[in-house]
Amino acid sequence: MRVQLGKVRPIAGAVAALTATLLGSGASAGEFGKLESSLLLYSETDRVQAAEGLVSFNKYLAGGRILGAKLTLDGLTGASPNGATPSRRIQTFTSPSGNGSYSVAPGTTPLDNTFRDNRIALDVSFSQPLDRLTTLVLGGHYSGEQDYTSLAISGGITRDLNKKNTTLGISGSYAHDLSSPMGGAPIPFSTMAASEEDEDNDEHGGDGSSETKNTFDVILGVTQVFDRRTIVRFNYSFSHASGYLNDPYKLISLVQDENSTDPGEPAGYIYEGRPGTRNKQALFGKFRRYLSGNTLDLSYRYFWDDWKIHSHTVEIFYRWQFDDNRALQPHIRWYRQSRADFYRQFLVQGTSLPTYASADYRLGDFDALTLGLQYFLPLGLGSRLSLGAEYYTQIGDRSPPQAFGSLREFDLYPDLKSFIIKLGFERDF
Amino acid sequence: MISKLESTYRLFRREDFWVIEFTAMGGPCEILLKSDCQSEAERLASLAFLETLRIEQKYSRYRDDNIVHRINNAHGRSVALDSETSRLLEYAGHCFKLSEGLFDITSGVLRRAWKFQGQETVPDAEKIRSLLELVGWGKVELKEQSFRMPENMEIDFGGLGKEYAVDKVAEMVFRDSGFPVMVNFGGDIRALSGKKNGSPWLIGIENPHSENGTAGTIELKDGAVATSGDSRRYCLVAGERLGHILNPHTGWPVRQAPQSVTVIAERCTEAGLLATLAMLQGRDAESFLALQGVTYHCIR
Repeated sequence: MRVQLGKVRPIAGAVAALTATLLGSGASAGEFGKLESSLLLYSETDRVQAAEGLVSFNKYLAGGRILGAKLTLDGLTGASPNGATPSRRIQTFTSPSGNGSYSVAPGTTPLDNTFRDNRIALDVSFSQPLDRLTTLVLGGHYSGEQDYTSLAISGGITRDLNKKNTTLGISGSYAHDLSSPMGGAPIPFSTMAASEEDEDNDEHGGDGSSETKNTFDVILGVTQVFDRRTIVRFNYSFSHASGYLNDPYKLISLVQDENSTDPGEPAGYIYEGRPGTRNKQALFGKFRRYLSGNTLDLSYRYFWDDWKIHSHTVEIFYRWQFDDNRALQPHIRWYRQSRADFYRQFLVQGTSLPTYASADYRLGDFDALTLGLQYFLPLGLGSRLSLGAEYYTQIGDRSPPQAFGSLREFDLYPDLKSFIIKLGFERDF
Repeated sequence: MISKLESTYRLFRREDFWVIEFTAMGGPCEILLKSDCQSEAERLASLAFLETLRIEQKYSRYRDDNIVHRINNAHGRSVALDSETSRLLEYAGHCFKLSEGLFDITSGVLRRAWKFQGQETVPDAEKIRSLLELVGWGKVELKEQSFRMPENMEIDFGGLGKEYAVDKVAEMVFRDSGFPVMVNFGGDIRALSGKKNGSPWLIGIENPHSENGTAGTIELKDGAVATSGDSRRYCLVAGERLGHILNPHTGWPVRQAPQSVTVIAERCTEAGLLATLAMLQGRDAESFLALQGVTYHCIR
């Protein structure tokens, strides 16, 4: 059989024109969605247990627009230090709600074990390129707890320069918080009754109304690509908060003076009082380098505020990428903080009260170390699973030099240890 | 049969670009992206991976849940078309006319008469004759939003789908990001770099006859490479080695065709089409390609 041949003639031009029509028309939108979800379990030894569930969805639309929404649910239960110092005797405190009380054993750190809360938070964001080099990002935030509500809006612009090797960004946000503590916001330095029988002496008072807080934040950032493997990022952030900045559930022990019969033992408890404004600043630098498929991430943050807190954070991530798409990512984080100038682990009875004072351990001197490991496993069809574990330890000054009397017998800043387990799932579609 | 989709994509850094790897379209797929931003690379990797899967799922002839299956199982009834499928069928129709019937997406049924696994084959002339009754784009009716063909006829986008996906994915990533990109699905390649953007991509051309398996490298900044032919797929008829490219007029493999034809053109779809058409010219493959004014490479 003779194979019949087509007549040889030039058709490449026609084929090119047809192909251009085929591909040129009805350009694919390039839209896709990314779903991320995670479950986090947080456990402090003998203290707070928390669980957090998170679902976020980002829709990448044609023209580079991105729509995002995130829902977070938190449940928290357990015991949290109320700020009071340990004592040789049983100590009894009124519950934050005002109806009921709890007692702590001699020599132990007073923990408020009535602590329970649920939080729901919703974030929405919208990102829109304004031109080839400029992108606008807008966001909104709501979070609600039994006794706390926060609403925030944010906006920012990024601009690429220097053939996209440099990106400048500026963003700002405003948040309005409403605090409605159980039993009303206590008047700073008012006395808390030591037991139910003393309730007449409870100056806790407060008028039961809500307190507000307003926060403005500004972040300036620059990202610089140094070479094909190295990216560096710097941020400066400024935050101004005013209004009700107290923790309504934190107390300070008023202890008997050195010449008394029972030096260091509590004579009463007063509610904390913090300044009505706080200005925070931070400088942040991050260095990222790609090493033949693996990624090294180094970052440092220096923080300071007008409460005289200074802190340093150093964090290292290393991501090992395996051939079959799995990855292992260890990380280590070191943190050191110096205390707020009004941080007092206790106040001495009979001495004049300072203008501000708080015994909140989070405002004290401490060091913290986090060790973590995360494992990423591809599941197919654009899905990824991650499993992570973290160990956190916080160490403060257990016996500060100003301690005297019975206070020298106790651990005034017990170590905090916590474990975190995180399960994540991601899917593109 | 459901095509294998259990793999996800893999993203990693090689030299000064990102590599996105996955398995689809019956083989290894690789996308190279010149960008420094990992989050951008992750986003574009998702985009490219999902677009590839979308095209594969929509136009694979191995699935029973897509438009190809609906058309092939319509039993002579009219099938409604979406605009993308309508454009692809229209394109296939133009190619049928331009090639004077040599390029025909209804010719796949002829494979039922031939096995190309290197064995001696005695063709069944009666079977070929009956199958030829089911071949011919001239018998189909393509309207803007519908398609109808006689019962038992079949279409398949085998000679078009992968090249189309290569172009679609490359253009999508480039249009979306502006980053230089090279898409390579099993040797069918499209590169897009833009005017200002630096160095070309280096591409090796396979040659099964040479010692190191390559026939040299080409540099590509903006353009495409496609190869037609598979030296492992042939049959023997009376001692003559026949490649797997079937002539829709005769129902027989094209005689004296090159083992493979590689064409360089602006877009992968047209490079692939010209390579297939060159194969169909048999011993005239080279003169056909020379006349087209494209860069090509034939292995005989």
